[in-house]
Formats: sequence, C-alpha cells, structure tokens
Amino acid sequence: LADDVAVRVMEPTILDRTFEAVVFDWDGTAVPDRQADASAVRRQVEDLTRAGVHVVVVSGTHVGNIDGQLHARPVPPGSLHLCLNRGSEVFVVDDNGPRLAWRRETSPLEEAGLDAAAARTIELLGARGLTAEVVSQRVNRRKVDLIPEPEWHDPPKAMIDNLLAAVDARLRATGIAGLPDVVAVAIAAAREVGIPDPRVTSDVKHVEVGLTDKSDSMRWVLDHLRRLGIGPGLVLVAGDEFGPLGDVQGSDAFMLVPQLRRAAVISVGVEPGGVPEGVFHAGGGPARFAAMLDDQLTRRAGRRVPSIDEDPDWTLFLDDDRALRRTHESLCTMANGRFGTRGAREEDGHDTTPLVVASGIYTGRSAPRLLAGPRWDGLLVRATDGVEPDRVAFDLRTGVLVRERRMGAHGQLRTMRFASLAQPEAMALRAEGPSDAMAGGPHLAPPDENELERGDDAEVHWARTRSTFGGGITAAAVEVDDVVDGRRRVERIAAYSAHRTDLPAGADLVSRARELATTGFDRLLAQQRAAWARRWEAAEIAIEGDPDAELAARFAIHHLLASVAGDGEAAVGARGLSGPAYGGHVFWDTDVFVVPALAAIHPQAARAVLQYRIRQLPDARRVAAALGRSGARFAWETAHDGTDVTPRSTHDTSGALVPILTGQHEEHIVADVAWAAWQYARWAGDATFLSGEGRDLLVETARYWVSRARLDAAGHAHLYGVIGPDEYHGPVDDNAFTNVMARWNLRRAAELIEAAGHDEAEAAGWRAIADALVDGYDADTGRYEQFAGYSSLEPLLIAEFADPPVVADVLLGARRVSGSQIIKQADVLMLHHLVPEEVVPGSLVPNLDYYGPRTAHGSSLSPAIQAAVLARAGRADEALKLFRLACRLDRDDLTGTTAGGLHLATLGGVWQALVFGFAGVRLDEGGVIVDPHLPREWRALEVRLRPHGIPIRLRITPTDVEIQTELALALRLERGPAVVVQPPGGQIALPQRRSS
Amino acid sequence: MTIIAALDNSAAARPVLESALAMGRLLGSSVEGLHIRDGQPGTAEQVAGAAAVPVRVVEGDPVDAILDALAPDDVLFAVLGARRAPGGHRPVGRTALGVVERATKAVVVVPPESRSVRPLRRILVPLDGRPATAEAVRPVLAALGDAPVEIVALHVFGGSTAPRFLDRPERDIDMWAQEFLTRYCDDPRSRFAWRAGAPGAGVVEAATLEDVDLIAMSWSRNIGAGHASVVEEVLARSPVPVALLPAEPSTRAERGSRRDEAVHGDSSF
Repeated sequence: LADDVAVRVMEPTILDRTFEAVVFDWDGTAVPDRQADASAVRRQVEDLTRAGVHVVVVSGTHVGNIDGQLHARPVPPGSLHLCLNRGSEVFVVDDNGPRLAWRRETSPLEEAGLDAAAARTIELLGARGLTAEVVSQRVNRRKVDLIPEPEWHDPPKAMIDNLLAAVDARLRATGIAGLPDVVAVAIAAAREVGIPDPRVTSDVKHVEVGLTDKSDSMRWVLDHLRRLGIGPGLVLVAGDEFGPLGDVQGSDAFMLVPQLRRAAVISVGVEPGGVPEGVFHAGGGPARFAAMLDDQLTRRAGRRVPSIDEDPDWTLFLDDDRALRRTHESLCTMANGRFGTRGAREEDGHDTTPLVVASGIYTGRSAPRLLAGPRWDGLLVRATDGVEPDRVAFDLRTGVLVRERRMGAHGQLRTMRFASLAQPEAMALRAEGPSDAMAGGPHLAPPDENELERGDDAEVHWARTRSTFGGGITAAAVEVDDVVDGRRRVERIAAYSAHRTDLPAGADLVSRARELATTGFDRLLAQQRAAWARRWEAAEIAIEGDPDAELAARFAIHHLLASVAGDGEAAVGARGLSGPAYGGHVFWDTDVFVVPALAAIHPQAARAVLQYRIRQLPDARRVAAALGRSGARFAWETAHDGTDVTPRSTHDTSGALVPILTGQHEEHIVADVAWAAWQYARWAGDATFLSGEGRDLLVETARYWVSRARLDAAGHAHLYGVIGPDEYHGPVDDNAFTNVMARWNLRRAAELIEAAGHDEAEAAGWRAIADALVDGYDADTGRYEQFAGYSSLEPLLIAEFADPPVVADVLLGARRVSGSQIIKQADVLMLHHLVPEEVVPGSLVPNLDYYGPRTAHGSSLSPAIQAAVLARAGRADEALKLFRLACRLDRDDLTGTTAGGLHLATLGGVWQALVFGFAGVRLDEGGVIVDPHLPREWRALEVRLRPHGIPIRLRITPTDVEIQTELALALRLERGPAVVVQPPGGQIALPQRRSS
Repeated sequence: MTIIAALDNSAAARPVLESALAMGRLLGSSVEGLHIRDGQPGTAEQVAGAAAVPVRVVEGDPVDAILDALAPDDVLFAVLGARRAPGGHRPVGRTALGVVERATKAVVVVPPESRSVRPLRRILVPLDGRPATAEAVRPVLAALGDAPVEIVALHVFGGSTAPRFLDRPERDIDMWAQEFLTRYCDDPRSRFAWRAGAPGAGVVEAATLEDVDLIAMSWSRNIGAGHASVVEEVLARSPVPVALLPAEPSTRAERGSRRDEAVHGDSSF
C-alpha cells in the first residue's frame, strides 16, 4: 500500500465518513487482474464484515472466478454478497462459501432469443466485413469477440489503451465507425429477434448481449440494503470503468442507477474518457481502493461517529435557533414506544427541556404527570472561540439524531444518539470532539424536578426516579471516555427499565447494561436501522409531486410508530413520549386519531393501546355505578389508571376561578373507546379480540348509553348535558356526534352479542334505544343540527371576523362564541369521517357546506380531519390546503406549544387524511373499498397498509390504482364491482371524473 | 450615566421630573433637567430647583434641543411630557411626537395627569412576538440589573397575533405563555399577561388592571405607518409613563415568516 497518511490526506471530502456498505467492481478495481493475489483484499473484506460493514462485489463474471480469487469468508455482523454474471445472479457468502440467493431465471424462449441475437449480431457485422465470433454462453447473455486474434486472447486491464486502439483500427478497416456502432448493431439485432429490453455492453474486446446488466445488481443491492435500513448515502461504490471506453459506456457506469444518488462513487481506474458527473475520479487502481478500505477500518476501530443518510425525503434538518430550541427538542424526540428522550442538546439544561419519560409511568396522585427519568445523553461541552451554529439532522427513516458543530481551531463536535427500537430498553450515544471542549460528564443526570437515587457497580452507574405510585424509572449506563490524537471519544450505552408500581432495582439493570455495552454501539445502530426498516416496510407513504407533504407524512408516521410499543399496554398521551404537556394524560385523541393509523400499519401497537383501555374497565364501571348508571363510563382524561384526572377548574386572567367541564360532560369518549376497539379488530383481522378481551369495551359502553339515555313522552331517546368535539358549546342537549356515536356503539355491541348467541333480549333493548336516539337530521336540508337549539344561535360565520384557523373563544370571548354558530372543529362532520355508515347517504356535502364556513379550526385536531372529509367530498385541492396546515402544525410550531411535545392526534390526523381522505380507503365486510381523490399537483400517492391483516401497497395515480398484495385481497372501487386481487397484485383503472 | 428630564413650563413638568428621579434611583443614574426657553412664565426651573436637580436652559427648537441632549454616550434616555395640559385622553403633543419619532434612544413620555410617582415596582412590557421587539426590550431588562421590579410581559391577542390553535385554552395559554416568555422575555422577574382585542386598548387596559408604574414598549419609529396607531393610542390614554424603545425595523423576510407562522403574531407597535 501507499503511505497511509499520504493517501488519507488525498481523500476527497466525500470519503470523510463511515460507510455501512461497500460495493465494488472486481477486475481492475479490487485486483489488477484475475491472476493477482487477492489475499490482502480478502483480509480487508473479512475485517470489514467483522466490523459490521456489508460488502458487495459486482462483476460480470461468474462465481467460480470471483470466489476462487477472493475466497473471503465474512464474519457477522457484516455480510458479503457477490452480484455476478452481469446482474443475473446474487450469491451470499458464509463460512461454507457462496450460496445462490437470487437468479434472474430465463425461459427457453429467452435463451433461444439470446442465441439468435448473438448470431444475428455476427451476421450483421459480417455483412459489413467484420469477423466476429461467439466466445461464450454465459448466464443470460452471449459474448461476441470483436478481435478473435491470438495476441489479443486475454489482454490485461493495464493494456486497455492498446486494446482500444487495436479494436478501433480493426473496426475502421471495415468501415464501422467505432464501438458505439457495434453496440447499436447488437441492440438492433436483439430487438429484431424479439428481446424487448436488451442489455448490451462492451469491454472493448467483446460486445455482450444479455437480459441483465450491472444496473440490476445495483438495484438488488440497494433494495437489500434498504431492508437493513441503510440508504444510498451510506454506501461507497468503487469501480474502474465509469467513463466511456471507445465512446461506449463503461461497464461500471451501469451501476449508476438513479436510486444511487447520495452514494460516494469513486473510480480508481484510468478512465481515459473521463468520468460521468457524480463520480469522483481518484485513480490509483487497486492500491487506492485498498487504501479506502483501510481508512474505513481505521474509522471503525477508532469508534468515529457514524453518519446518517442525509436523504432530504427522510431527514429533518433543523437550524440552530435559540427561540425554537425547545420546539426542535420535541421534533427530534427519540422514542421506541417504551421510552422517549427529547432531542435536547447534550449539554443543555437552562431554558431547555431535556426529558426522559417512560410510557405509562406517572407520578403525582392529585395531578399525575409523566415521571421524568434519569437522563442518559448529557455531555459537558465548553464554549470555545469560533463556534458555529449547530447542524442538527433527525433521520426519520432510522430514528437517529445527529449533531455537528464546528468549533473553530478546536475542531468539530459530532454526536449521534438513538433510542433502540430493536431493544427498547437500550439507549446509545456516541460523541467525538476536541478534548479541551468536550467531556462525558455524569453518565446519568438527574431530571430537573425529581431526585435521583444513585449507585454504581464497578464501571456501571445506575440511577432511578421514584413515582408516587410506587413504581419508577431505573437506568444503568456504561461509558467509554478516552482521548486519541487530541480527539475525545465518548460512548455511552444505557439500559432502562420502568414499572408502574414496582420500582426496578438498580442492581438488576447493571448486568443488562453490561450486555448492551458488549453488543456495542455499532451493532445496536445496525439493529436500529434494521428494526425501523421493518416498521417502514408496512407503513411507508410516498407522495410524488409533493416532497414537503411526503416528508410531513413520514414525520407523522415516524412519531406515531415511535410513541407506541407493539406489546403490553400503551398509555398514549396527547403528546406521546415527546414532552411534558398535559402531564402525558390520555384523551380521545388516542382512540380516534392515533389508533386508526396504528391499526392499519402496526396493529400490535393499536392492540397495546386497547389493553390500556381494558385495564381501565373496572374504574370505568365504578364511575358509571357512582353516577347511578350501568356499564362502563370511561374518563375524559386519564393517566396512571382509569381515574378521571381532568382538572376541575382553572383561573382566568383576572384570577377568577373558571370551571373546566369537559371531564363531566365530554362523554363521547365512551363511544370513542368502543369505536377504537372495533377499528382495531376490523383492520387487524383479529376475530378473537371482540369475542375475548375486547368484548367488554363494546358491551359495557353500550350498557352505559342505555342507562344514560332519557326517553321522552314520544319515545325519542335523548342525551342531555354533554359536550361534543366542538368545545365552544356546552353542555348541550343531543349533540349529534355524541348521540350518533352512542347509536353506533349500541348497534355494534348488539351485533356482537347476537353473533355470539348471548343475551339477545339485551341486544334487542340496545337496538331499540339506538333507533330511538335523536340525531338532529333534517331531511329538508340534508343537515344534522349539531345540538338541540344550535340553529337558533347567532348565525356568525368565521370569515366575518378572522381567517381560520383562529382561536375564536380567545379573540371573541367564550360567551360570545358560545352564543354563536362558530364551532371549534368538525363535530357533525366527524360522523361522516368516523361512522359514515351511520349517517344519511348524500349528507356529507350539505353538512360540509354548512359547517365548513362556521369552523374556526381552533383545535389542532381540526384541519386534518376537515381535509379528510373535503377529500371524501371530491374537493381534493381545497382539502390540500388544510392538509398542509396540519402537516406544518408541529414542524412550524403553529400552536406555539410544540415545545411541550408533539400533537400526536394531529399526526394521526395527517395519516387519516392521506389514507381515508385522499386515498379514500375504507373497510367493510366485503374487503377494501378505494375511492381516491388526489389533489391536482400530486402525481401519485403510495400507501402501505394491512387491511384485515393483509400487507398491501396501493399506488394511486389520477388514472389507476396499482395494488401489491401478499394474499388474495377483495377490493372494489366506490360504486364499482368487487374484484379479488391475487398476489403479487394488479392494476385497476379509475373512472375519470371532473377534477375538483 | 445620565437621564435627561425635559421640563417645560406646564403642569407636566412635575410628573416628568418625578418620573425621571424614580427611574434614576432604580438604575443608579443621575438626572439632569433640560429647559427650552419658550418665553412663557413657568415653573420648570422652580420644579428642578426644589428637587435639587441641575437644569440646563437652552434656546431653539424643543425637538432639536432634546435630541441634542440625548446624543452623548453617557445619556441613557430622555423623559418628557406627553402634552402640556392634563385632561384625559388626548393626542400626544407635537414635541413629544417629534422626539420619539427621531430619537434613536429610549424616550419616556409622561402623561401630565400621571399619578403621584412612587418607586417603580412593576413594569408592563408589551411584546408582539417578534424577535425585534424582544431585542428592543432586552437592554432595558439588563439595565434593571437586580432591581426588585416585577416585569409583566403582555401579549395582546388579535386577528394576526393570536395563536392559531389552542386545544384547551384554559390550560394551553399557560403552556403558550411559558414558551412565549422563554423566547421573548427570559427574565426570572417576568410573568405573562394577555388581553384580546385591539393592541392599544389592550395595553392601556392591562396597565390599569395590573397596576403598573411604567409601560416599556418597543416601537418601529415609523409614525407614518399603521403601526403608530398603537403607540399613539397608548401615549394618549396611558395612566402611567410610557418608555418607547426604538426597535430595529423588522426585515421583510422576518415579517413574511412570522405572518406565515402566526404563532405569536406579527403586528409591530
């Protein structure tokens, strides 16, 4: 090798990072020729895999040649793949050698076509005076020798210039203009014999006609890496023939597929024709390539902070703005469903809100709030001269947060952190920086408000915070803190445990922390990437033509998935695990806004939410009984258990006591819980849930409504004194939303026990009450009256005093607003969104036209749902405006309160607007119904779902719906016939209609 | 450091001097009287003499004279009367208007009917949610040092200055206020207050309700623009002295950005 130091000085900036995968051409890149000793490359490849790197060889030749020369046997956690035969085969290598993992299978017809194409090529070239011959029949291709002369039998790569000159002279002697002319002849020949997409390449000596090329290899590699959570920005690609040879595209140029953007692509070849844009021409041949591999090994051995793939479609880049710092902490929350850590700067405390919380762990009996746990990601960072603003990037694809800060002459601070999704008790931090400006500090720092109990066991430190309910959060951490070449390196791995009522012992976590430390940061990071990749496989959304909306959708899905664990029970507060607002209390936000998304993309998580509700059933029964009613009355706001924790009053600006009435009157939560249970069961295809543990969520709530309703003399049933989603008005009588949701609840519960053959008399009673419940529908107008007397209120429209969204009650005063028809958010229209089967067909538009202009959208829950119903009504462009508002709500801090945590219901609403609104997906007994309405600027919307538990991908364009499914799927378009789509999928044309 | 008290021969002279002295005591600064001879018999020199405050008598245009007196580096700010005669809600006088429009330092405008001045213990700071406004106020907070004063940070919610969403206003406003204070008035002595409606009326109303001794508000020194109406209304109706703190004009980008976000509003005073 060349002098290591000298080589590193010459490395371009694009190589100054740690790559997770190295993909390279063999002949001319890794070795000078097929006869060369490859033992040095073998050692490097094996060392790289041992360090966790995924190594891929891409070559046109066959496995015997490559494995025979390389003979590397990889050591996990990395891997070695051989993508050979010019894109037609992939071998995975293990201790036993290469094993075929994939092959492009050909039909006899295709094989005959290749033979015919080669023969026809020779024939056409012969007609022009050039003698050529087929020299080999490789897998899926035929190789034609353009210079079948003894002295050019097997020219080494180093003689490429001489070979080129000889071939060129031979061609010109026959009147053929050059290699491009030969390639054109071969392509024409292949198409003439019926090969629709021939892949023709030339290495100067040969022209090859095939069915695949190196682009197929690269696509396979990128797809394979994607499944491991490794994006192209973390891939190093090396070759020696990216530029043209004899005016023909170099063989390695086929690797430059569009999906490879952001990868570091290096040519170590001679490249007489230069290299394509995006390829860095390093030259230096295999020696240079070996130096690059050595550099990667050095970076890994030195525990350098790895990189993320800074894909703008997946990455949140945040400027260092002091005013927005707390907001950014919320946006960058690292969570895994069990624990959440706000993305505060490692050294921050004052005027910021670093916070670690655990799902469902509350403290404070009178006013419970999420318990703050020991902080694991603190560092000591000293102010230095020449400090530049931080550069922060949060990778939504992998849940990894990175930060860079240039510190003038002192160097650079870099950190990477994540909460492990693969091992939810694990948190990991790696940092590097100037030794005089950065240090590790306490392994586990106390939260602001809670005392920390501490201890240590040799190198492991533990700490814990105690909850008033007897439980708490315990953590143990192991840290490596050293200085190499003036650069301090801090690596900290923490293990967490939390329990509602039993405080985990510190000593119990010490061994777990040691285990995780043994696993190590790099392996935890690899697991993190892979675990998130699996999550995204079932949840990804793509919006062609609207990158901002696409990023917003991915932001929403990331935090939805990160907020809820896929097992046990999940108390999902209004701000998830991202902040202290509302003390982490759980509202209807979870049941109505979050659960539908989870049920469709991560049903186990939806099930965990419902487990939380199931545990609350005894409390809910007690509350109902205390009120003299039957069944279960879920509380509006809960925390540690089913006890209502809604504050009863607050003080206004004059200091006067103002009652908070939602706890007593916002009773639709009872039906909301039942609705969530039904949604989960249907989407997940979990037939046993509603006959088992989930049954009482419907049955007991139905019993509550029966006892809650009052019959008048005419036999009509009423619900008096309730507050609906529109909290500007209330308590009111016969809120349409509450009544219809109760009706839905009664009917579904009746179906359930009838189907089970249980108490049919009780079911009949429920149906009778359901049928008697008034819903305010007026057949003349096609409208539902939001509550009794709403129509006679001051007919004020929102546009008369402000542009929505606006907090009308603050601006106009609660009294004025409650006396008007201004509403806070969709109320009647929530019915069209949640239970369209319970409203009169055709009533969406009249209600939309009536209530839309009266809606202030003063609630963060409002814009996304309004967008969904607008889309359902075919007004997609109008819907898009509100959808964008919902998308920006947290990212642009439109509420001014995102510092307290993310609005999880809005994030769920964003997903619902996309899937239920724009994509128009619904489920019924018969299968999936799709009725898309795309905004004009969207070229396509792609969603992944699990209807009835079947993983599917829908790609919707203005003209058709493409379906990929793993099982047979019953699907129909709205008002269309049902079809059964067999795996792997199909395509259905959409009826064309006038755009909105 | 010196505070200039601009004293004329009107009923405003006494409250102006008393205000200047109260602020001088709070900030540890001396007070110097400035009188522009106007040919009227009056009390300016008597008022200053009674308080043992040196007074400099000059001739010429009052606005120019006051601005000249403000120029030296060791002069903190000027205190002057809102108008010559008391009488309730009347427009601010030409001299006061001329000075505040051209001054690049703070100017305290004292209404002649200002109540008997007491030690400053509570200051109302209207903030509109723009960084420039907060920046204008920051030096005042710094100058107060450890002085035992309470800062009431006021935000007036209007069509463009209210948050767009408050899910549970009775609780969200506290959360919103905490974030607002952290961003725009990060001082341990500060607490948040809000009003809804027209900004000028909201400021005056809050000044009364909160029983403050001084209003300290930034303004853009652009009397020709619509922004000035808030300042004019406050100067006309405030029951207590009003310190006007020149703010750097907001950039177009900042205005655009804040309008888009409409998080904490964008109407400049």
